[in-house]
Amino acid sequence: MALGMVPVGEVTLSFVDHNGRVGKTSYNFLASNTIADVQDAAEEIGAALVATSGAALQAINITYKLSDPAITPASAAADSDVFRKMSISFEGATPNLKSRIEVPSPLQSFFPLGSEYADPTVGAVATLIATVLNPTLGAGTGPVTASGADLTKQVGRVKEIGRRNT
Amino acid sequence: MLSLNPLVAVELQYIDRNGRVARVRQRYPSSTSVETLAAIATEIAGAIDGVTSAALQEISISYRLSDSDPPAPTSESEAAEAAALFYRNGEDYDAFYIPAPLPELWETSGPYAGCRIDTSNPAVLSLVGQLNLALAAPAGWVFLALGGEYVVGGRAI
Repeated sequence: MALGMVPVGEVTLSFVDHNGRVGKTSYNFLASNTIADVQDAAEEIGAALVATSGAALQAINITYKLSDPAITPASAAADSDVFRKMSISFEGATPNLKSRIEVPSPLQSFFPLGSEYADPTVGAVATLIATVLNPTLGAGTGPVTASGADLTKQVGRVKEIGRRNT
Repeated sequence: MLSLNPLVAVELQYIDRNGRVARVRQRYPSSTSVETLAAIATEIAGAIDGVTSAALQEISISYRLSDSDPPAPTSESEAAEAAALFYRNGEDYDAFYIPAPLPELWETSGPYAGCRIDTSNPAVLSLVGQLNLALAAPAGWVFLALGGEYVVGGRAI
């Protein structure tokens, strides 16, 4: 696993017309620039675009990427299947504050024969849970919900979601 | 007025042997720098690596600005239509698209009337000015096409 920062990021400006349909335009920027600099330029260009368009500017997305172009399907294990997922749920100290992470193509060895649940307290699953909940990650906040509140407690259930056909 | 959303999305993209793709998405405070988020994502990817048989292909970090009270689009606006404003990028031309262009942007006379941008239109001049400003920024921080030059643009549907 050696992903490197892609030297070029992308700004996408989304507009919505009177029928609710969305039109997009985008441009690249050098990824060495800070989000604040890119944001300033995107807002200026967005304001100038608004004066040329009958649609309404709805949102601006600024995306940086890390990738490894050498990764291909052959890099994955022969039995890998991303439509099979392992769901790990978390909950916060506040009731009803929940989140989860879904790991694609979990290794079969974590699931005892006939069980759809893995033991979250042992092995790499426990390491993953500890990493996600590590308070030093996420600028000291750990994972957050849409409300922005911290999640501090793991529910303790690891479930494999059933295989889906496409 | 656009404002930066309080959360930034970090997505880890995995691929399986059949080329199918799945994403793991986490959210973090948008006050976190790109470098810190990249380090967080890499650490989580390292932990997922011990659990999955799929291969990590890409990590994306997406900040979003949105308007809680966006202005209404005009009644004639059509998002399926776009105007292309071409600029030189080295030896090539790239296009910057204007979604749902206002009718007054088009040339009104000559062989390209109604299908080519009038680059003397004040709104077009202002947009080109902003794009050129970005192109000419000392640090070259927006656009790859440093020193790019805008030329006439046409209709793209």
